[in-house]
Amino acid sequence: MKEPSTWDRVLEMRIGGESFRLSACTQLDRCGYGTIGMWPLLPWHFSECSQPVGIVVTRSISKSTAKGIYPNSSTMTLISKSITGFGSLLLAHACYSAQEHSALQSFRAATSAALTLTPTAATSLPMDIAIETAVAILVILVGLVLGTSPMRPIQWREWAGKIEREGEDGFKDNNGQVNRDYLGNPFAYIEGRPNFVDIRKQRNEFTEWVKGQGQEQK
Amino acid sequence: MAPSLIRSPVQLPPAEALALSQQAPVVLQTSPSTVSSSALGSLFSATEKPELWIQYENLILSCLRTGDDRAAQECYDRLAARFGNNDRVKALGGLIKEAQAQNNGELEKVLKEYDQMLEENNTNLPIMKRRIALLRSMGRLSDAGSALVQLLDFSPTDSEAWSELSDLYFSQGLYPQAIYAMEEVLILAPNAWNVHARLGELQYMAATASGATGAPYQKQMAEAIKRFSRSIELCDNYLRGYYGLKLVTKRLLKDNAKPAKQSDDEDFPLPDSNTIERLNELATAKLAEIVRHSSGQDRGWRGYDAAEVAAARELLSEDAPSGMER
Amino acid sequence: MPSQQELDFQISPLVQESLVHNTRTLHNLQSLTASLFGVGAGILGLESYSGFLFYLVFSLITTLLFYALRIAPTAISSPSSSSSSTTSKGGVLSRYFRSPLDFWTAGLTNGLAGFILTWTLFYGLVRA
Repeated sequence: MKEPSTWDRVLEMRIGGESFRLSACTQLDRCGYGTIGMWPLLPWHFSECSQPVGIVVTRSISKSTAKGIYPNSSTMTLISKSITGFGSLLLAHACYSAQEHSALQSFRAATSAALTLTPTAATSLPMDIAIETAVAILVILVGLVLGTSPMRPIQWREWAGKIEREGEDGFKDNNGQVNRDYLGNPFAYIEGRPNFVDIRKQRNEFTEWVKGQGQEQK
Repeated sequence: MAPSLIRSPVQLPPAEALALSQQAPVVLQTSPSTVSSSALGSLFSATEKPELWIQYENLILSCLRTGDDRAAQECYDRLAARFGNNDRVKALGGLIKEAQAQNNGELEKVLKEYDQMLEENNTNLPIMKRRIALLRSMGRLSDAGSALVQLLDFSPTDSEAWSELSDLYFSQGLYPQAIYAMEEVLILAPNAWNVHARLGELQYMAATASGATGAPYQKQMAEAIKRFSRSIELCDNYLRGYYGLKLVTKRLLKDNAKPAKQSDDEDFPLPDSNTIERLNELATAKLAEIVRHSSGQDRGWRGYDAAEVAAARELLSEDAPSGMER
Repeated sequence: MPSQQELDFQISPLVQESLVHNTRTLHNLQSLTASLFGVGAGILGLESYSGFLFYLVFSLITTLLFYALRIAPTAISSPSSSSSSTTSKGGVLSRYFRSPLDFWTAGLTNGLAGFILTWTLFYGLVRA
């Protein structure tokens, strides 16, 4: 705080209604501290082997039950498509009517010219066709707008929070499928390091896990 | 629901890896066994999608893990048929051999093969990475470390390799070096919220492992708070960030109960105790919210890992009795 | 020294992919609906200024509908809105688009060519 040049960024957080400033420094300082000792373990350092299996099972069950409660997004596509289809029918009908009308007009003009009566001015479209057209366009519009894929937040924190909080659920398109370009946390590979994977260790861990499963079932 | 095959399966828990590898027969059956690479051929045969190759690669990883060697070999054969002598495919082949090796002698043989390939081309990144991983797996940590440093010499923008180096140092208890390597990753990917959280964890561990309570300890705790805060700032409702913040502030509050001397001539002074208190409250409130929503399976809160939520719940329940005492 | 705006962007960066996704979604909708309006204008037999007025009105309606059906509802449902300050700063729109002006006016130029194409086509078909 005393020297603003050393503080790269200042972050503001709201806590309990009052805001205060907490300085965040990203300037990387390199100084060696001599330390060797016990390693305290946070859960993320052994999450691979310590997955409580019971929780996974219950999670998948409640997921499937929860799905029935909320409206599925694929029904949304159905609604959107049927509205658009209905609107297109209306529009086609209006188009046909207008075409018939103008054909009738020209036919009447030709006959009236033959009968040497006063030529009627080209009358404008009947009101009902005009209204039908406008309604059709509006209906299609609603259908198309409902069919657009959901927006994604552009603020980094919100977007990242969405990935963490909602997971795949937050990135489904209208068909209820997870969007193809959704890859979860794009930086997960930095910690996962797929090219450095120790396959033998993973294999051993997996066999251990299977054995544990077998004992649990007994 | 099995996780997506497009994403890397390395960090998944065993149950999900099993679910993934069980998909292998279906994927192998439904996708064409050969894909023509020529432009004319693609007119008649099946179209090729880049996702397919990523799927094969990930299938190899999860099948090897679950011991389904045949499916892995099949995937590898298809990749080899399409890409031939690609370095990446060769590395996958080496991976399969590593997984199937029964004893140390066979592992040495694989290692020798890697060495041979590297003699032809000593900047072959995928093979080099496999060699380092194999060395580490065989327990030759110093060899792996020097090879990794050599790799980073000619490819300093490889964030994955920096992260591996950090992990290697961390596993040897060399915290300053591990932190340094992680900071390099942060330079390459400044917005990666999980790397910020990881760095915070490293700082916290470095601070607590030394057992010291002097200036370096406070400095590292302050750093850890900043890292966790930044990870939260970059990612709303980040469970891991709040978890770390809670750990650090809890520890600092405990320290403050004892008379702690505040040294003020530092680059990164600790925030005052009032601030720490409020940070702790914020983290507690947020963690409670996340745990509540997540265990209730609320809509829009299902992305969290079950193990992480369980850990957060444990931390909160640990806190509850001590809060009563205060 | 970086400017204040640069600093702001460093503290809270924008996600380019999301930005592209949002603008592409809106752009697709607008070019699709513009040709639809052309059909309408052709059926109604509109000429010169009234046709363009028709286009102007309807593309504004499109954007309005998009706002009402796709953007406004997310302000209420988002669980994070209680804690984040972004919603209070520039409304819901700033969560998905960089500038409100762009959002409201980009549709006018996006679909104009498509509009004129189908307008003339259907005018000719119906009046022939």
